[in-house]
Amino acid sequence: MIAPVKLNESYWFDFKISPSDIDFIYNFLLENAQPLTTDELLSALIRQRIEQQLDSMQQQTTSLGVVYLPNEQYSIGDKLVFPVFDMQPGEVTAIREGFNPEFTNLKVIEVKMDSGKSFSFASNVAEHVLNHAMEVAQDDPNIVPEEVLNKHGSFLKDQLSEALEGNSDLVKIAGCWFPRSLLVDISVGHLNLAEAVLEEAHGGPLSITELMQQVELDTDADDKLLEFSFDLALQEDKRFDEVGPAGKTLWFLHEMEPEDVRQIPDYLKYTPRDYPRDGLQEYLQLFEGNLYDELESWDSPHDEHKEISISLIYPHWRAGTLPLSNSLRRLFPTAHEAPRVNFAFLDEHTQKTYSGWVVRKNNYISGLSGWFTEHELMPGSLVKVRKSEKPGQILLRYDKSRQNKEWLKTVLIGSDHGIVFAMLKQNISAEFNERMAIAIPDLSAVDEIWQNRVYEKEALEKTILRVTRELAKLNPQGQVHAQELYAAVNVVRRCPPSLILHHLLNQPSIAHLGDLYFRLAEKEPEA
Amino acid sequence: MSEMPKRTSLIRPTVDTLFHIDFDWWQENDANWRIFLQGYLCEKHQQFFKDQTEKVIIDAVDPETAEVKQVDGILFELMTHCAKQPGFIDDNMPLVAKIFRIFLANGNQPLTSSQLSEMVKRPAQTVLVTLTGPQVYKGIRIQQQN
Repeated sequence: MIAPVKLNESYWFDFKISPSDIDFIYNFLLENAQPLTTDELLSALIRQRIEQQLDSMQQQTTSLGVVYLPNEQYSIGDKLVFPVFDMQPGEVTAIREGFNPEFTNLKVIEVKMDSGKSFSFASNVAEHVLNHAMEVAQDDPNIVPEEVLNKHGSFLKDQLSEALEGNSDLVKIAGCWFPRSLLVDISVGHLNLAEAVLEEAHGGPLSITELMQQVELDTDADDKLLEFSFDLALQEDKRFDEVGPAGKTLWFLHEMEPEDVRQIPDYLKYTPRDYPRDGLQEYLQLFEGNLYDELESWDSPHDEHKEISISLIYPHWRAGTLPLSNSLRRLFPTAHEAPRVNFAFLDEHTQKTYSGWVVRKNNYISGLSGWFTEHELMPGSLVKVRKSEKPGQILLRYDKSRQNKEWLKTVLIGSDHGIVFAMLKQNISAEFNERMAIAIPDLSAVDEIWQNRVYEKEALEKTILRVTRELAKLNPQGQVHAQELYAAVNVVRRCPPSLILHHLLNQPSIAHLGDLYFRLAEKEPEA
Repeated sequence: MSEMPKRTSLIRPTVDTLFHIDFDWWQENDANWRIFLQGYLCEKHQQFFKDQTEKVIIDAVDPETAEVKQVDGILFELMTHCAKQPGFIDDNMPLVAKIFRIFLANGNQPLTSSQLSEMVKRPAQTVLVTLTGPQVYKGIRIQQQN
């Protein structure tokens, strides 16, 4: 059966951006005279491509000759093309009255095809599917822009983004595109003024509208175009940093960003090592409570709409940061391009807000030093975060401990920087993970270790053995739990849990007792 | 050259043997076959064919290609229109009448006793025995393989 004309199924699968598409987009931006997002441009491009294809399909069918339609009447000598015979041409050689009770005034045309064969066809038949065969199928999902976007949107957007990014005549900021040649010129003077305004606002963040209100630009250009031009000028000037979450453009003075945002804190620095990870995930899953570490590719799966409880390790506690692990990444604001995203933490108890930063490149969230100190949290304390209903805001809290004092592993640092653990009674304020809680009575001694990179200088195996030996002294069986060791090793150097597990499982001097328990072998091999 | 006699299958028919209405055989063996068929037409077509004593040829228009072929009018209308009307096949009809109407309604596509048994809700063996008895009912015969 001949169906109405449809766009080839593979048309959108094989979609590639052509130079004429870029010309169309360029002209479309000129006509609109304002910056547009990739999604808006994609939508316009899809509509244009559909129109183009429909025109081309109609032209193709009519260029071959007069298409035979059963509802038409023909004369002897008429040359026709027949859709049912792959548009084969033929000539009408005779016409006679037809006889069929279903059709009044039926005429039968005898047609001699170019191949030499003759056929009889009906004419003057009002109702027949072939009368609509050369019409475009209106229900074809491949010609409905919304359907195309639903089904192929992601792939088409990738194609378009790639093509636009490779075009130097177009500039992009905060997801919007515009021809560079049409931008309004923003002078250095205006940028200096913007710097002064941001300085006055303690570095920011300020939106482009807020900045423009104070930096008076004398021009007749469209507001949106002016904003875009100003945004771009700020983006290309290293003094300014775009720190808004996805869909929002906010500016901050780079110099005035917190030190821990501009540079990764020493406590979080880690040199990646290559080690086999096979089989380690099953042990990571045995960790008590949830495991979130930015150095791990695996962490406890979590629904982004639910609260996440994070047990602090010393490096994050000391740096006032949280790990941006896979689960937390979905919870915290992100951006299309900005490497640092500014947002607000809201303490659920005190209703005080704290400026937070998502440092995307180095996978941590900064801004909690003050909050940790204020509430006397310690390594092992449980910090709870969840998304606020207000976009870009994260709710923050901790549960107060029922006890004021607890027996805790306490770090004691010797004059030779040697680390010793002792069980001592310590003041506590927040609920904590028992395996990971560690009291640090002498912070300056531990800081000295980090400043001098004392443990970083020795092999990791040695640090693990040293800390294992010390922890083993805390119980008569001499057992050490991997999660305790993970927290303890991180008091003196940054190390992901799977690397610690790898060493525990492969060190001949350490015996695996099952679950996450280990102990030193009867006789340690000679160093 | 003498005409080849129509071969009769020597193979014993089974429930998987194909049957159909053999109109050629019927025309040769029953002079009243056309009058008999007229009784199966719907009211509209009975009116149309009532005064036609001779074979009526009509121009059948293919529903997909619009190609015209000249065909026996009664057979064509019966199979393309009248047999498709609701109530053409009734559960209470005798077995053979029902099978005959099934063939008319499906455009005389060959069917096995097994297939027919599901349609008429009778055992396949009963259908087979009925259709292969000494008397040929309404031209329903084993489909001859060329």
